[in-house]
Amino acid sequence: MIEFAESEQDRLRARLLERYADPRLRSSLQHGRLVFKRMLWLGVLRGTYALKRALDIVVSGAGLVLLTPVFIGVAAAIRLESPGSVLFRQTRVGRWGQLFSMYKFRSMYIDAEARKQVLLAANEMRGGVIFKMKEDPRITRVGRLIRRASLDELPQLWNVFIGDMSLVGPRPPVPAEVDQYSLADRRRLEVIPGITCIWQISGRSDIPFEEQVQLDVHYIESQSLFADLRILLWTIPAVLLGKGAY
Amino acid sequence: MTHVIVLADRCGRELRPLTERCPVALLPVAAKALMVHCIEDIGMAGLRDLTLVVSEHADLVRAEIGTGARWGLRIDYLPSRGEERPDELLARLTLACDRPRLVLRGDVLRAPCLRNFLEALPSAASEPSHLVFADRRVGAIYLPAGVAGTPGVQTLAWNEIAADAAHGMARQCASDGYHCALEDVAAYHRVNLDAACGRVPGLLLPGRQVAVGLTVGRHSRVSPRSLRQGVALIGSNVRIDSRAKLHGEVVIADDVLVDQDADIQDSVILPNTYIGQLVDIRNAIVFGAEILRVDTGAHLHVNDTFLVADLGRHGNLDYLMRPLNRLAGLVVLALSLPLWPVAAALALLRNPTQPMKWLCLRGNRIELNEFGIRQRRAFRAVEWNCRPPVLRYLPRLFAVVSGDLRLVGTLPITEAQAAERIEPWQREADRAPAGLIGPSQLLLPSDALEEEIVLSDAVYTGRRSFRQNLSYLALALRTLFTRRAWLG
Repeated sequence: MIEFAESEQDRLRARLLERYADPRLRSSLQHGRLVFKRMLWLGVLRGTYALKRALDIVVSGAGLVLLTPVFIGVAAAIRLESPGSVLFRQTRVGRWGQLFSMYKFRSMYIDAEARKQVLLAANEMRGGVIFKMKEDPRITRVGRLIRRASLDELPQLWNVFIGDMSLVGPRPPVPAEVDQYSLADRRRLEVIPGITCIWQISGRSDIPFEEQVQLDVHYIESQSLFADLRILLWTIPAVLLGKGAY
Repeated sequence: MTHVIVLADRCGRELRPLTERCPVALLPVAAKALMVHCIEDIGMAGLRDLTLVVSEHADLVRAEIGTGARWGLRIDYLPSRGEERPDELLARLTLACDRPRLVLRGDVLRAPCLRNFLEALPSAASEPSHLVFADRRVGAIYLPAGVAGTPGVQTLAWNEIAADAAHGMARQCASDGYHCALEDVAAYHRVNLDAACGRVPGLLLPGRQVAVGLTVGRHSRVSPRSLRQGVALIGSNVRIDSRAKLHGEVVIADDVLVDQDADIQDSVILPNTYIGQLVDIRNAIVFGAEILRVDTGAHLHVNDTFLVADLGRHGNLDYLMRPLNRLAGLVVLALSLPLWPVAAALALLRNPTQPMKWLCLRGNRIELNEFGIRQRRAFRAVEWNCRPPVLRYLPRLFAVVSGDLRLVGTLPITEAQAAERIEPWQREADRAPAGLIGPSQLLLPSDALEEEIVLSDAVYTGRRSFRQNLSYLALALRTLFTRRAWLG
């Protein structure tokens, strides 16, 4: 007599049919099983968001506390060189076009925004949407140092702590830049912006705007906690080498 | 700057049961709301100011679309009674004639074409222009500055006969682009598959391509091995078991679970759906526990959550709420014991011969009738014959403990009242459990009209959530210290 091996599907089917033998047990199993599956999947989803937020709070909180001496030193240096506020507050565009105030250490003279219109013709940023110059005359001496070492971005740890930003995410643009965005470019605004992101470790300001958008969108579509941790780790050498920072 | 008016006030009767809980404008097409495709077309055309005309579930549309900042638009809303005549609707808008206006429908699917339409218009246009598709339906009407009123917008009415509508219009711009009015469920099925397979040129599809023919949205887990042949578009937050099989053309919207060895072919799976093990889905639309076969027209409701389930209803903590409610009822009953002598005394003073009243209400416990059909079991509801509502309904706490009532739910009704509810919107309230307190009990006056109560319960049923129930509990606690609870 020839016996055929029972396939995995047949075993699964038989196991499922057994559950219908007892209606009372089936009802409890049905509901319990579905609740368990959904809770497990929601746990994975919500857990990812919760872990990312928890990471943001822990790292930014620890950073704000441990880097207090650095904050004090930079603030003193800025104040000694040029009069005016130590912090620079700028309106940026966050997730889905919502505006928020982003904080940085002031690295330019107080009248920098007024002088920008005169310098627009010398924009070295390919794509024309973002303005950057290597030898920007509006930058102070202390400002040049803290920008090269990326210390000017440190106050954004507060934005991360309160939830306006995340540690990892597309850089938040200014409203004037967003006004020039095409619909495809606006995909960058689908997530909470971050202090560091994929293009920041790929070449920062040296890569053209279109490529920045592509990298941001790729990050958004494939976002995961492991990807964020990898980007955070790669940010350290990128900052130390100061590639694209000026 | 051209002002855009988007008509999205279809009632969606022809698309039922898909539109029972969701307006046509928010039905997902290729894992993205239909209205969002329209808004993106408007954004691509460089237009910024938008008025959205909505009727059913207007708050859901507003929650999804918002102010338009997401797309760089400025959106305001105009309520409609539903499928109103466009000319009467737009008369209420009192639009200034010194700005060009563009009027179109947002609850149909068009391939992005507005930019080409506007670029093709003469620079100094002085008469209205109509964008007409191959099916003779008018897709959009451009009214230049200086044109008084809204001539010709009647052709954009949802129920307007397409063939005659565009006949004899002053200026027509023909378009051979993709256009589908979603006139029935089969058309809705078809546009989803067309959009996923790239047959609607220019649509911005969500997700990224992870394999040939397989596009996957954010935070989704799909193995490329699952796609055996064909094309699949998967939304975000989807989990498809690696042993599940996808054939032909498949669209799976957001928040879906597909279990092992499930087989899906030429089908559309809508959000919050669970597809169980070894389940075969072919030529169908599945949403929650409902299966619509587009080839046979069959509509099947599946009670077995091993097979298909609505994650929004069955996958949450609803099953655990039953024993929790009974326990909470016991606690509240214990806390209310000091009030019982007061209630008894007041009832005896008011009516010494009949201090208590009985009536038969429909409870939440399910039983099978003589025909084997599941129905709600009636229970005997007792109440004190006194004025203060807080004291009068104390005995109903026993019903909460026994499971016949929940703490929070719709107003319990008699069998006779249930039999009078024949309209679909009236029976919507039956989908939620009856409760001791709820929106009708707390927010409506005691002499409220029956229609008002039914509407209130129907709205509660559609938006029911654990958080909302907690808010009603908090409201009930606050109401305990108001005159209404003690004076009636």
